[in-house]
Amino acid sequence: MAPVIEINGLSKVYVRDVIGFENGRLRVRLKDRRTVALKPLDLTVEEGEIFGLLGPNGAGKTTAIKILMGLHFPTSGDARIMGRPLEDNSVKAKIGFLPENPFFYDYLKGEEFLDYYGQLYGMDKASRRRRIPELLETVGLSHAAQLPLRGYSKGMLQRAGLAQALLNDPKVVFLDEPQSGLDPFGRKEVRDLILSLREQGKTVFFSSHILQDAEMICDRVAILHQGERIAVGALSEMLSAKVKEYEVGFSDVPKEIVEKTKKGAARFVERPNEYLAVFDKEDEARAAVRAILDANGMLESFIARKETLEEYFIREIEGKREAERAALANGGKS
Amino acid sequence: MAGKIAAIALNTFKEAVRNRVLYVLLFFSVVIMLGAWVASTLSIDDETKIVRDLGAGAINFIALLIAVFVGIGLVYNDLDKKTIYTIISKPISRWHFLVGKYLGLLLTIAVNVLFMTWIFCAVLYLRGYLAGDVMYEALYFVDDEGYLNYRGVFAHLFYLVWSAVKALVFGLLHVVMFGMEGVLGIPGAAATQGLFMTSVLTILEMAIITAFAVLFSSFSSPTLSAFMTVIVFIIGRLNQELYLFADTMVQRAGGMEALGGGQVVAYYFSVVAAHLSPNLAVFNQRRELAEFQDIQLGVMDISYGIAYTAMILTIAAIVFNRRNFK
Repeated sequence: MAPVIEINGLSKVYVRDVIGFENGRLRVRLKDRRTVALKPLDLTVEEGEIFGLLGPNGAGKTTAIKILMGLHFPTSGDARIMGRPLEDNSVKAKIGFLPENPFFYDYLKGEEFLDYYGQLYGMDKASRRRRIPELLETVGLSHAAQLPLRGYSKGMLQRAGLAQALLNDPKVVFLDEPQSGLDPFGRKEVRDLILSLREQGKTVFFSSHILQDAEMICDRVAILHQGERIAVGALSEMLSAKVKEYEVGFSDVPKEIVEKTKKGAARFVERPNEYLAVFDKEDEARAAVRAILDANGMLESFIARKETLEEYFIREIEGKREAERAALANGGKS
Repeated sequence: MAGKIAAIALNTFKEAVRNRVLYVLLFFSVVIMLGAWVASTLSIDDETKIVRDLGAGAINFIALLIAVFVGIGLVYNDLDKKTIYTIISKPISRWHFLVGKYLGLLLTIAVNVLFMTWIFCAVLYLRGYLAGDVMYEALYFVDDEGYLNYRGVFAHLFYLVWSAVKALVFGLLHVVMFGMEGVLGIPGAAATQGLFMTSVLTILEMAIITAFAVLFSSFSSPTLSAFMTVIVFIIGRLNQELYLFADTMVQRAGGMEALGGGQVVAYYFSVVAAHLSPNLAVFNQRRELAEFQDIQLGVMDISYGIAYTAMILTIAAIVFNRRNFK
């Protein structure tokens, strides 16, 4: 089956005007006019996946999404959604998009706003009437349907934004930082909503810098850093092979066993009659467990702590920075 | 396609109608019209002529302010606040958005011009009733013995309110009957002769100016857009004078060859500006209005307005199609 989203060598270089306003001042700029926002990016997203585009601020996530949504034009490369080029309006009819920190016409009431957007999707009156209350219910805004958006809180606006992205019952949903600015409850609601979208067979492509959330829901992710893709793949593949450390929690053991375990452990935390030993190697941890059980001690826990996405992320980006520094130092010498 | 453009246009109209600036401008127009009435009483010239001239001028001026201040904000805000992100990502083309915005804005201007025309016609009717009627002159607030004549005051007030209601109804008739309410034999209808046509000309003129406002605001800041739109309006109004200026300069010098360096620059600047700018003089017939002459609106004028507007909107669409939304 063809992928739902295909991105081939998509790149974006912004070139500033020679004469332009910068921070409110007229400025003539002859040098340093080019900013590389996205280096050639290749990605494919399969049907029914939740795909996370991750990276720190300024990594190029939003640029990539803006190009996919036809808001920016790529400097090179191309992309296809459901096998059709981005300019094709028939594709736009089958996708939904929620931008980062969305702003809508604040003089419109919640229901009016969705009705207007429904017309832009080309929905007839009967289907708008049926779909809008349904959606308001889904995103929990039924009570605010008759309130102008000007009176909405940030979380409510985000939900209104989600509602407009789902109006046309899209096959693919693009969400740019859907959880930014939301409190933990709001974030959980968005997570649940994304999961329910997958259950309905939709493909979700979203960007985020909140890694915990991404880790909980993504099937696959791509990590961007300074416009470059530094990793892509299934989360299970990225993180599974990398068990970081083994934690052994125990109690009720003779003193000599405690001492022995403490000696072999990389770290050791001691509380009254409660101990936690952390080992780097699996066989060391196993040996400690055996010793505890042989001494009729109580094994409270034995956990192989895997790397979190956050740790992976920081390590990859640190590695990248290290390499850049080395290259710079070498360049300086020669 | 047409449905989506209409949806954008109607939403734009809704946005403008819910904008407070519009009401400030409308209030301002009413103040100018009443001011014109007061000013005309001080004049030694024909009073009606002055009221009509000033009132039609006020309608034209306020329409320009709506096109510039409300119009430019409408496109710019969508770009600045990024509302456009969720609109362009819908199954519409960029030019649909631009044309929808333009039509919404034009609808706003047309409705407001017609509203101001109504109010102005009402002012003219009321002015006629209060100035000419013997009843009005005969009512005194105090009786012969110097006591306040309550019956007189009430009668006076009643007459005033009744006249105002009549004036508002007849003013509305002027608008809905396309300026032909005179055929009903309404007293005082002569004062409003030609106003509807003048307002139609104002709407046509604003159709061109609004296209420029949309064009400029599709790529520059609101202040710059407002400035450039006003410049186009001024040059457009002076269009014929620019040709005249260039011709006169050549005649005085005695031929093109005799023009000095600076004059050559001035000559070509005037001719190029006159060629590029819209000829708005066609739509400005306030002198004819003041003199109670027929207001001329030919098929050629309408065609010219439509063709010019289409050209500017096409350029705006080309510019808009190529830009990245920040």
